[in-house]
Amino acid sequence: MEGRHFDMEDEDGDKRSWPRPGDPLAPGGRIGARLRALYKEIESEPIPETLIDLLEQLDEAERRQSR
Amino acid sequence: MTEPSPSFKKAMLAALPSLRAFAMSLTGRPDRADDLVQETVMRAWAKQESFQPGTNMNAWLFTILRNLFYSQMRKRGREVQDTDGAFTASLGVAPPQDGVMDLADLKNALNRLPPDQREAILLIGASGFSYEEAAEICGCAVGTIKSRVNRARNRLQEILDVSGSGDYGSDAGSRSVVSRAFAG
Repeated sequence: MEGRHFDMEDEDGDKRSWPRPGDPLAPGGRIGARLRALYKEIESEPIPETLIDLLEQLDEAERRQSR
Repeated sequence: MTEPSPSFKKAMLAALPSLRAFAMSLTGRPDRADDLVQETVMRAWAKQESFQPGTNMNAWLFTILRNLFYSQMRKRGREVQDTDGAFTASLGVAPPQDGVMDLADLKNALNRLPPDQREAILLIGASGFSYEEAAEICGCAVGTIKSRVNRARNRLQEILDVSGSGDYGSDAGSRSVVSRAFAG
């Protein structure tokens, strides 16, 4: 998501926009950088095993079904 | 007939960290956040045909998670407001990362925002969604998201300005005076 344009169109031609440079909410901005650091703190925690197991089970069940 | 889709699983795995962060900001509690993410994974898996390849999968997953959260809140007859305070309380206070960041101040500041504003500014400023994606996730107009973000940004700036001395490594004493001044 970093390094993207501030206004761009996706494949369907829908316009999308983000905080512009100079906006404190931009990735390097005063608030944006802190908000990202706050999330990074949570995102760097290991994913609970139960969640990974759940995905494996769902995937496995689907494989068996489609066999 | 559903074909096994390893890429779907992979994409879900990749999305889990940011989903958990968003869930934490909604529920304020690690255990509830993980339950919510788990339900989101199951719901998303069950309706994976409704995901349109090429569109933003994170936005799709965030929408599912958010809808689940609010329908749970409604079922329990609880106001979203009830979770106020939990977001900051449940997160450990990280040490300042480079002498400039003081996440404790930020958490306190976020905590004092109305839930809709907090959600909007986190989707844009922390998760990195576009205004349009955030509007889709919240099921509201882009203009509504922008005005919530504006209000939240102004409010955060005010609060951070007041506690701004913390930016440059002021002593803990003066910071706690500031937080006391805002408490309650």
